Amino acid sequence: MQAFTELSKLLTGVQQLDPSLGTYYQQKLEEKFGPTYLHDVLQAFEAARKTKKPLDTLKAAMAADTSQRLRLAAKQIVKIWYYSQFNDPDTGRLANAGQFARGLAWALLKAPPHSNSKLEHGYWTKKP
Amino acid sequence: MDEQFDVVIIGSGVAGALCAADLAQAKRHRILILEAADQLIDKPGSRVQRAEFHRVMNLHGNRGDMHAPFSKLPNRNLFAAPENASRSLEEQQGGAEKYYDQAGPEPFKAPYNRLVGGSTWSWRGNVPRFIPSDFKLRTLYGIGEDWPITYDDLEPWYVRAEEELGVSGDHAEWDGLLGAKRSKPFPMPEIAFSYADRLIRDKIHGRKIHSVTVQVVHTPQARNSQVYDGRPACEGNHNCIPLCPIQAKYDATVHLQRALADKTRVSLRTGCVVTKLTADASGKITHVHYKNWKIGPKDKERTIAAGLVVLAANAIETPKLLLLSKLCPRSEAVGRYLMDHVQEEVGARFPEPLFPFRGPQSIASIENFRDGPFRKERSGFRMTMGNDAWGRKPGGAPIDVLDKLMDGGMWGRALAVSFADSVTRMFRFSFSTEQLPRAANQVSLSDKLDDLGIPRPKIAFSVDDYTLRGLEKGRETAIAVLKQIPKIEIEDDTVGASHAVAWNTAAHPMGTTRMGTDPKTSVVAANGRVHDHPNLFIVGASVFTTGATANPTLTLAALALRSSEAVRKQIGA
Repeated sequence: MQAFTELSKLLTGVQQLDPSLGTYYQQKLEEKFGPTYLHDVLQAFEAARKTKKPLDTLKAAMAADTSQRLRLAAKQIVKIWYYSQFNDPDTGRLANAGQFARGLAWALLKAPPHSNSKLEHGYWTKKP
Repeated sequence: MDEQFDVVIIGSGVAGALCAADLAQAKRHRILILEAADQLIDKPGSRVQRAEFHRVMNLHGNRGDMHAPFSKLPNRNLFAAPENASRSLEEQQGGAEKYYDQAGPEPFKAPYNRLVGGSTWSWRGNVPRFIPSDFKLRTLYGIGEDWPITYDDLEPWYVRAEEELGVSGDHAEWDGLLGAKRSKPFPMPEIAFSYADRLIRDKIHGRKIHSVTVQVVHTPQARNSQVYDGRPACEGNHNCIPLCPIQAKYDATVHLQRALADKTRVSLRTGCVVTKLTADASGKITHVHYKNWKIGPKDKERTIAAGLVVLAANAIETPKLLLLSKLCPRSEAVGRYLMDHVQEEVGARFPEPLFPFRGPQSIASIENFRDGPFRKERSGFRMTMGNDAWGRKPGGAPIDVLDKLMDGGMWGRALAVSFADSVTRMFRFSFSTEQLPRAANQVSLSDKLDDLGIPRPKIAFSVDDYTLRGLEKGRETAIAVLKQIPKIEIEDDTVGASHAVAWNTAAHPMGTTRMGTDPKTSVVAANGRVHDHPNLFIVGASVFTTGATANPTLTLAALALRSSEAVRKQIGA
């Protein structure tokens, strides 16, 4: 489970990730996509992290993977961390992983998560 | 013996709720509100149901979906709600959730919420008034129709509607704008521009585009800029559509609660779908028939005797009920003249971060292109500025930006930086046009039935050249305005024939029981009373004679209050 969170840091570009949320997201993706869905991308990550430039190595592995499985799994990992959303494997439509307010996007965009403001009226008039 | 009520109100959306609260004030009459949806009604000061909607939205919904918070309500399982309307016809084919029977040639995309409180749960809350010329299209421009009332007739009711809903706005900006005088200030000061609005406004306000001076103004909103009516000021949750978590945005449960405070005389019966109204030989409505789906799909039809009926079931269900009941024998207009506001968006990136998603979803607008002699040839349009990056533009959501960056090989820190840079600079102009009333655009009865055995609405619809020309001009204008901003990056600045129009719905069904003086070509009189039935009133946007370019809610609220006064006079309240 720790490997998933470490992989997530590499892919998302955000280092402060909650490991328990990582465990939850890994389980969510495996529940939806199948227990072996993340196997290849985690394996590629394990190989990449031993190199001097893990992200470059992982990107090269994704580029070389003609099945696209590595890249597609990596995209779901990024989306689930940024927005707590992923593409439903059956319909392709965005599905909810239930932790929207903890998405990484909000700190990057300097905006409160939708429906979770907790700020005072008028905060939006100022530059964040 | 049938139950007897003095007034039966069918539908608990904003029009029905306003009437219920208004009529309940007299404390003299037994009033029953029948509503197809079923959910808990929060007591004043309580947010149990709201919190549950919020929980469902968080856990189960796609955050872009206006129906997400309400997706676990039992009526959703029992019979289809018109939620897939905004998808293309191809997507809708074969879907179990399909409700509209789309007769074409184009899909009617406007959904509505089947909820206690109606679509005000998930509306954005923008409440501009119609302008004087919107009521006189035939006289001024030789097209469309004239209403049997003028802006001046409705103005006092606009004032009252703004007080009832709680509207924030800038009186100095709006008094006299496009000829629309205001006799009173707004109940609350305007919702302040966001940081993004101000940056954009600085570049475009006062510029001349197509000989028209652009004025960026504060959109009047049914959203509290201060504590009002026991509800808090907006905290900028940026969740207006689909759900305000704190009820800073008005929804019709405000007036339902007010009506229901008189427990001895006013009652709300939920889960009740009205199937028919029956009239006697004089045309007087005598009975209302309904089925209670909470009992089950096989529930027998129940009957209530009614002294007077107010039909407030929106522009799809109201005409459907009249048709099912075979009412309005003289009128050729029942179900006809269906209108929506069709709109498009232009997305752009500002040269520096604007920081969208802070505050309400839209605060600023440009009203200057709604009216003019051009309306003889093409529709006007109303422009809004989004505080929500690219809004609902297909492929324009921030998660789509993320997808594109990853597809381009970007990951890690570079992805995070690029994502932030790209999205924080995004904003959009939307432009919403007017459809003229066309008889061919209509709601009729399908031979396909819903789960209660009631005919579904069959909808024939198309967008004609008058509106398409308005869309084209709206786009051209939005791009011309954007080009006033140095170093602006417009996502797609093609215009004219090279641009493939992809209009979307504003979800404003209107016009299907329109107001007029001729019982053959209209359904209701100026006071909302149905020509052929002396004790039947209709409220809601179905009575609109024209659709104009403004969001309909404030106008339908003003009309509902005006009609409610007529009801009070008729029943001696």
